[in-house]
Amino acid sequence: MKDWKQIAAGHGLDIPEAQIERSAPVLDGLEAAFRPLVRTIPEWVEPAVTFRAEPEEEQA
Amino acid sequence: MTILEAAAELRARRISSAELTSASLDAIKRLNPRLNAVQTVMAESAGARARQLDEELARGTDRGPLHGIPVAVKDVFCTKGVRTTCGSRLFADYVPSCDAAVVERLHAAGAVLMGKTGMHELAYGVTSNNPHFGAIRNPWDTERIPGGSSGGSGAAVAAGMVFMGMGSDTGGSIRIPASFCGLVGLKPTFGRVSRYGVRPLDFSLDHMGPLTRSVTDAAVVLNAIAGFDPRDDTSSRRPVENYLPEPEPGIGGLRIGIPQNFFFEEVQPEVEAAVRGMARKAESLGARVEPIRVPDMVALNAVSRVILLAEASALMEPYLDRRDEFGADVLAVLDEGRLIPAADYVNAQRLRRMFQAEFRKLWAKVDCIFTPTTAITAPRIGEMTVSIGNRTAEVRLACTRLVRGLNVIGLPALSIPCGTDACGLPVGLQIFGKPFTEARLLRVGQALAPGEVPTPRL
Repeated sequence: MKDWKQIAAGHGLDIPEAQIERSAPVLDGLEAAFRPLVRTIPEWVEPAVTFRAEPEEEQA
Repeated sequence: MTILEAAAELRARRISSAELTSASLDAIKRLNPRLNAVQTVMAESAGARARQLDEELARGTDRGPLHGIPVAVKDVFCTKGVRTTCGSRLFADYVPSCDAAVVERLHAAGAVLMGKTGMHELAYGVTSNNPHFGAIRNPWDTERIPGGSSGGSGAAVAAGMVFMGMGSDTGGSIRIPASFCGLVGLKPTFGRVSRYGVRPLDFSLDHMGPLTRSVTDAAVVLNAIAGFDPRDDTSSRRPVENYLPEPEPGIGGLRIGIPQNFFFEEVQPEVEAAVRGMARKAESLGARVEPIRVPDMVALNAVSRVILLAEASALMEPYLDRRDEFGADVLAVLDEGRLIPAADYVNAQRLRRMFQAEFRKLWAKVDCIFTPTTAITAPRIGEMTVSIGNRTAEVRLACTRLVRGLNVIGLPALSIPCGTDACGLPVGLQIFGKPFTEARLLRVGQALAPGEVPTPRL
């Protein structure tokens, strides 16, 4: 389990402790579902976000 | 009455746009105090616009089936000179200087904009129980939620206030109100409809589409709003089609997949029965219904949550020092998003590509897939949990778990009514397919649910 309060403090986030306590189970659940998936990603898979040095129509 | 029926009456001179608009205003006046569906009523401009459109039609200028038809748009769409709150106190007085692309296209198609519909705060939730503008109520049972976040559009269309309500869908926000309000709701493929001028909840999951009282009406609206827009970086250059299905389209030979995993787990029995009933109907019309296995939707939903939490919090970061101006539920998810590590966000976007590839393989086997839209029918306002069989489920998860993953892949999805539960509440069937197959989905929807949807007694 991550210490969400410590993470918030480390990032200088002004999230009240009571709010973090309420959110912790949700974030723990997401962590449990998401973390194993990360290990399945082949290193050549790029993120599904695109950046072009020039918009397509200007390249043409 | 549907859009196409009203359009025929207008052209036969049996009714005018001014009369339709006046009837729409009367319905809003009569029902809005009970439903709280329309947040800003544009009575004056709508009346003037209707008269102008009547004159145009009399002169022989016909803009098509939306000409003179009263509609409304969710308060997330910018409207020039008309406040656009996004259901938030932060933007309570925001008056845009231009229209959203969708609003421009609706204007060009001759629609009469009656007003802006209420919504879940910032489009970030499924109840439309808005702490700043009040709870929106379901016309089928006013003690229940209409779904969200496009709850005002759902309630307004189901109650007959307008012929069409435009919605936005980041994790089900068109399809959930369609399911709970007994309407047709269409989430087009990502890139098919411009997002320009829509206050974003998210950069890569937001989709725009209509809620209507018939499948053909949804097609008419898609015909008006689809197409490339250079102002939206994700807009597709793929040519648009005529999306309007024939009145009785054939679906013989169509391959319909019924998932054997995930989509019928943790679903109310009445919902499952209604959806499977529609599959049998499709089979009786000549479609081939085939059992399939879909990719890991639990994992896809986790990817969806990481992307949405991170992107929504990034968008709202400049406002997060004004904590007392947010509702508690929205502030909670915005805070959760701030705790998502950057590496997780990047990896979620990498997993997105992997899921996209997995779904591509499915389309070699089937043409479309049938699932319930929501696992439950409309819950009561304020309810946080619901019973599904002998289990207890969170309302938010029961509403979103069958719809949100499709936003990650950008697939088109249609929700149509397919029956009711023991309380008479509507059940929604979700039909989804590969990218840019809206015409096919609408054809299937029309074959299964032709004509106008049942309307609630108010």
